[in-house]
Amino acid sequence: MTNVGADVLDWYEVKFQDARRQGYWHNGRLKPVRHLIERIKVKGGQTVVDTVLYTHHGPVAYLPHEKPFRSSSTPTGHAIRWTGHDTQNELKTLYAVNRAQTYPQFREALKTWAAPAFNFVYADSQNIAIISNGLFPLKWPGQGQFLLDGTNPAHDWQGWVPMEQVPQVLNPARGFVSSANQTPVHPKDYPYYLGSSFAGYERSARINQRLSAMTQATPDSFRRLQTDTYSFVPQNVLPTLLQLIQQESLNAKEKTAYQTLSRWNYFYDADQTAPYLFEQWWQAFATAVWADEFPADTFKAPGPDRLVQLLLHEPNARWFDDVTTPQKETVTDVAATTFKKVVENLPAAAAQLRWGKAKKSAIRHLAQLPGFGQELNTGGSANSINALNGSHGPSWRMVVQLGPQVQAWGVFPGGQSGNPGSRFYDNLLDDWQAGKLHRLLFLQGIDDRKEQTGVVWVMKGK
Amino acid sequence: MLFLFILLFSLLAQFFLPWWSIAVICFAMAFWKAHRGGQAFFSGFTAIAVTWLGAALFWHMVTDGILSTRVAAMFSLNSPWLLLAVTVLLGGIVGGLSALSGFLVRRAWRSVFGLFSGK
Repeated sequence: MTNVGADVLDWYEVKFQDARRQGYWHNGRLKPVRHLIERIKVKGGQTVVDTVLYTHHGPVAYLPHEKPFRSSSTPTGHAIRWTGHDTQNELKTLYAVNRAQTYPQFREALKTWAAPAFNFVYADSQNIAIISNGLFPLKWPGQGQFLLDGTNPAHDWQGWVPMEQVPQVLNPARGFVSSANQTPVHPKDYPYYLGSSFAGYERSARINQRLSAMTQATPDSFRRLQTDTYSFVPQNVLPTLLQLIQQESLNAKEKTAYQTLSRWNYFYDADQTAPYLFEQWWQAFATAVWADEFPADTFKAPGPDRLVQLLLHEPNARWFDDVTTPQKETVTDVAATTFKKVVENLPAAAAQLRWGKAKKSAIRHLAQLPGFGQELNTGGSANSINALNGSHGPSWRMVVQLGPQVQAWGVFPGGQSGNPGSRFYDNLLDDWQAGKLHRLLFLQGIDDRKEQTGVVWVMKGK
Repeated sequence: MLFLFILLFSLLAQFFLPWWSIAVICFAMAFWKAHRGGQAFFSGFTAIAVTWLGAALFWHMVTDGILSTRVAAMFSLNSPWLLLAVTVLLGGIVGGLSALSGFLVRRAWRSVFGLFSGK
């Protein structure tokens, strides 16, 4: 199961009757606001009493005069419509999935799963399938990208995508199913609008590329697939960016950086320096393009896909001009200035440029205590299969081989013990970094005692 | 003698009471038994230092040094042995100063008492 990034949360501006907020306008009529008093008990302190206002859209997150905790992304005076608030029976799905004998039974079991929507992968001895399953509201294309009008009934969700018609595929001709949180359907192939901000396509493109090329795959092929560090991002944009640079105008340091980048094979490996150079440049480039029109503290800049589109197909777009200067900047200017700035600010020590260290990935203690977490030195990037980026990454790795006997291998970056004085606190971390997996115990019956069995507990009824 | 009393009682107390109970014990023991300021401080310092050294060594040993290395890193120290030294010193200072206070308070109390009884 992996997350589906469908848009299942919308904001509706509420027009209250008056300052008492006993009613709100919808469809030209006044409707009652339900006032619900929540009491939040505080240990050693006074109980916090909070009145939450409910419309038919959902709860009002902040009243018009209130200041949100995250002011840049939360509108005030708006009601939240979210599938997570609908009553459904996800536990029933899991119960029935665990007892399903056939694919139709499995499909039937998913129908009570509302939120969060997941890509459910299915495999039995004859079939494979993937279903992007959940409760998806019926929307017009683009609905919910912006704030909606809570008084207009046309802005309400008009029903649900029928559970039989969620994105799915059974036994595709290509011989495999996959997902890396990307959009599960092409808008032209699927009649319903699901949302506009899924994870980028790059990781799943690389997965599909590797899977298509595999023949005679073994569990170890999948283990190696999990730590693949290739990324389509530089493959798509770096050649174009490099072409924009006038090589004659470069000084010695810039020339070296240019050559490092032009020789790069787009693998984000720990010992390479090109990934760090590229990431710095691409980030600086994005900031230079968007920050003038969309200051980060008040605006959300357009996504990475839009930037790629601009660079590759719309080099004359007005967005490349820095509106805060009197001159007219072009895409070439932006590329050259950001490249030179990035190279100028590079740390002098070569060791600090190596991607494994430079990306500063770490697994920290919950309380950020130094000494209780660990710095990582490993490859990967947000858009590689090994999606390790900062403090986020592929924490649970598993390969399962079905067959007469189910076999599985897995690892997670940590240990079984929460005691920081135990060697089992983080003993799996190094294996996880190196992409090693451990055989998982899957006991077949009460007499199945694998060699790792350290303790046997016998439960006796009275 | 004072050293042994503090050692024994503070060791027992720390199994059940919060860490600052050592200050109360050092104070009370020195109030009762100390003869000189120097002796009070020295007994309190060494007795508490020994118990804290024992506890720190115990946790260092049973975790193969893992826990003390982590806690040392938390305090920006690069060696668990340095952490051990700081631990012993801190405990010692608390013990020594508490015992010294106990002795000084008794002396002050006696002189006041002496004044009132006309001696």
